[in-house]
Amino acid sequence: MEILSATHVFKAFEKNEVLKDISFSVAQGEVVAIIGPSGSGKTTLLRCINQFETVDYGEITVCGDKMVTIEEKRETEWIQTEIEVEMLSDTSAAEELLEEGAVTKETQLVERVINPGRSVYADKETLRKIRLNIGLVFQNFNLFPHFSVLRNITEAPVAVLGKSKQEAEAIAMELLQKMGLAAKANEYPYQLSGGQQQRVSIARAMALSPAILFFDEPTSALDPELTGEILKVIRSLAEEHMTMVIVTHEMAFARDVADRVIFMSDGVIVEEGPPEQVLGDPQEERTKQFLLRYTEN
Amino acid sequence: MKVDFGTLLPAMLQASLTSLAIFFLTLIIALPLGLVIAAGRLSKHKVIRWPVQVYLLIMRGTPLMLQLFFFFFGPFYIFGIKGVSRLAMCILAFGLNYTAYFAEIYRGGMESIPVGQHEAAAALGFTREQTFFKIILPQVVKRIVPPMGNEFMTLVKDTALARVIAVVELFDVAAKAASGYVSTVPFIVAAVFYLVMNAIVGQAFLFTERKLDYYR
Repeated sequence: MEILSATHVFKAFEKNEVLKDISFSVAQGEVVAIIGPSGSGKTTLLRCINQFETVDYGEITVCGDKMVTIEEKRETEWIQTEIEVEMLSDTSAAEELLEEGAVTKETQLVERVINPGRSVYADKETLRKIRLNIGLVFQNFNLFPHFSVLRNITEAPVAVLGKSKQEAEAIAMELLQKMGLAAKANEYPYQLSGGQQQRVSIARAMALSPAILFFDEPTSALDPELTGEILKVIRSLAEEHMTMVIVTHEMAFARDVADRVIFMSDGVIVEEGPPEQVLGDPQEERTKQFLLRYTEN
Repeated sequence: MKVDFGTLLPAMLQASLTSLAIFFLTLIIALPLGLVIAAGRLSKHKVIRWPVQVYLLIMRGTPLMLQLFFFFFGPFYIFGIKGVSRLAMCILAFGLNYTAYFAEIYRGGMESIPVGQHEAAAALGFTREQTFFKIILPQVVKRIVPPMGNEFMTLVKDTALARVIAVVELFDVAAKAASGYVSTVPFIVAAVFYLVMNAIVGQAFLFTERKLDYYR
């Protein structure tokens, strides 16, 4: 069963196109890692799915609920345009053309947008329902500093789902137990290490029993020795068949825990597939370059 | 002439009650209203933000004494309304003036809360109201305690301005006694009264700061 599907998603900030025709889906129990250089659009994609940004065009469905649907189809056409040969970036080809018969112009296929299309968002109630089906773990944890660890986890189940305090606390303690943090229940976030704070924020997201859990570079704000504990938690969630999408820079981890790796660059999905394939034997030049640069560092 | 403490002290205590009434009623108006104005100042809509900015400019850009005169004489000079209560107009002027200062303090506090707090709350499904009252406001309160302490102390001293529209408060009684007795003693007594009031305010804020020290 598909938990999430996104099709033909476009998003631009002013003139800057950040997502260009992104389509992907996540099946139940699947762990998907999204990798790619900074500015490739992976965080924007995550923010669009989590309703922090609105898409310009496309369709997103979460657990069968349509968050945004295509109302009017996007139309483009390929047109031939003449360009000056001197302007071609490939100078050897230009020279050849010029030698052949004093050609000064060459035609090139360019995609032109006839109709940008139109997408509409669902009503407030559906959007809220979708929001509760998605859990989100932030790079900077974003725990509530004025709440104890326990209350950070119980507040949403009580205030949003209407659970009783006892029930919410029982769930929270069970989650904290799993995270190895039961002893910290009554402490405040500032008293915890970064790794512990991130584990609390995972427990906080899990307390609403979401259908899918998103991680936005969950280890980027942590010391290398603390990332291990987060990866251990994510691995154990994967073993329980939690559906997860992880935006990460940890290649070894993506290879280890993900069922599928998506490589994004310049707002498009360049390549996707099993980790051994995408990370071990990439087919696309851009993926190879990225991985090469990554291993160099 | 010898100062008669037997009559001076009860009169000053009595007048202090008026000063305290101005102090507390101003707070009752300005503390909640400041929050509303701060929200308006932070609004995305120009039609709301612009008038709020004009209000803030006028209230913070003109003397409180001038505002007191305006509120007291305005009703009669402009609308011909007679017999407005001095104390009521005094409290209205103080309330609207302090609202402006409180609003800017609230705004600073709200803007200092990281956007991640709003996003985390939204991701967890909190409504806008829940996010504000459960997540944002408690953190704002902690951050604005020190600047609010300043404003509260200034307000205690500013109550002395009420005298310009003939509200009989602590400083008014002291000044009249000083000229009556041809003595600076009533001024010194009034100074002690203000000092005691502000010492209490200072302690209350210190206590609040410690109370909110359980998190960072």
